[in-house]
Amino acid sequence: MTKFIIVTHGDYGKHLVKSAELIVGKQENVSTLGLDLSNNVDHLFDRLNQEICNGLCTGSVVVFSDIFGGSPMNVTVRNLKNLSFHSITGVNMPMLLEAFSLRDQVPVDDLVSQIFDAGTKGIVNVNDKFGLKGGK
Amino acid sequence: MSEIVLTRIDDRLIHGQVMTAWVKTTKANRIVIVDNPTAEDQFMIDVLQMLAPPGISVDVYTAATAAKELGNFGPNDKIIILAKNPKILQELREYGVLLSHINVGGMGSNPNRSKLYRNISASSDELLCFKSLINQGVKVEIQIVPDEKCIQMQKLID
Repeated sequence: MTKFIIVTHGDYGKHLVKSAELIVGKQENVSTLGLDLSNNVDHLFDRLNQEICNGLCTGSVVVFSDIFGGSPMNVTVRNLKNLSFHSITGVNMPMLLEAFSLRDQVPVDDLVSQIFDAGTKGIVNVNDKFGLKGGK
Repeated sequence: MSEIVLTRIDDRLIHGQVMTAWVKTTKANRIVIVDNPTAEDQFMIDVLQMLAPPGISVDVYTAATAAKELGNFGPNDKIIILAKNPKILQELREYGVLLSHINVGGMGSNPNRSKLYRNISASSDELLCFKSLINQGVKVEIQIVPDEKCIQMQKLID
C-alpha cells in the first residue's frame, strides 16, 4: 500500500487528515508529523527519514508538506538526497481527498499528477463561479 | 565597499517568509550562509539557492572562505550573513570579519540545549560563546522577525 506522510507546521497535517476522514472514512498507513516553533529541524529530519524508510519497505511513499520553502518542505527535500519517494507541497483538503480516493488504484506517478490537479483546481473563487458580488 | 546589513543566527537557515521579511527590511541583495558542513554539500547548496527569495543570490561558504569572499563583493552589495550557531560567527571574527551586531532568530531544542526564550535554546558552550562575543563588544539581540520586539541577549544570560 502506498504510504502517505503529511509533514507541516504545527498540527495542520494531523487535523487535515482527521477532517478528510470525516468524508472518506478512517485511513490506514498515514503518518503526520508537526513542527513547532521551538522544535529542532534535525530531529524532524530524523523522524521523517524513519517514516519514509518504513514506508518504502512495503511500497511507494508520498510526502505532503504545507508550504514551499518552509522547514517541513526543506526537511523533505533533504531526505530526497538519499531516498526515492514522491513529494508535493501546498497540501490542502481537495488534494488529500483525491489522494485517499485514488490510493493504490492508479500507479503512483499518475496519483501524484492527479492529486496535483485536484489540489490546484480545488481553489475556486466562489463569487466568480456563481456570479455573485462580493461587496466592499 | 559592500555592507553587511544583517548577521543572523537561525538554524532553519532559509525558511518560509522569515528570510523574505528580513531581506525586505534590510534591502539586502545577497545572502552568505556560513556553515562548514553545508559548504561541502553541493546538494544542500543547490536546495538553498532554490529557496532564495526572488532576486537574491545565495552563497554557502566555510568560515575561512567566507572571510575571504566577503571582501570581494561589489560596492553596492548589501549582505545578510546567515549561520546556524554563535560558534561559527566567533570563528568568522577570528578570521578577521568585523561583526558588530548579531541577530538571533532561531536555535531549536536538542538534548544539549536548554530553553532560553521562545524558539531559542542554547547549550552551555553556546552560552559561553555568546558571553564572549558580548564581552568583545558585539551587540547580540533576539528578534525572530523584523516586526517583533528585540530582546538583549545579555539580559537573558546574566
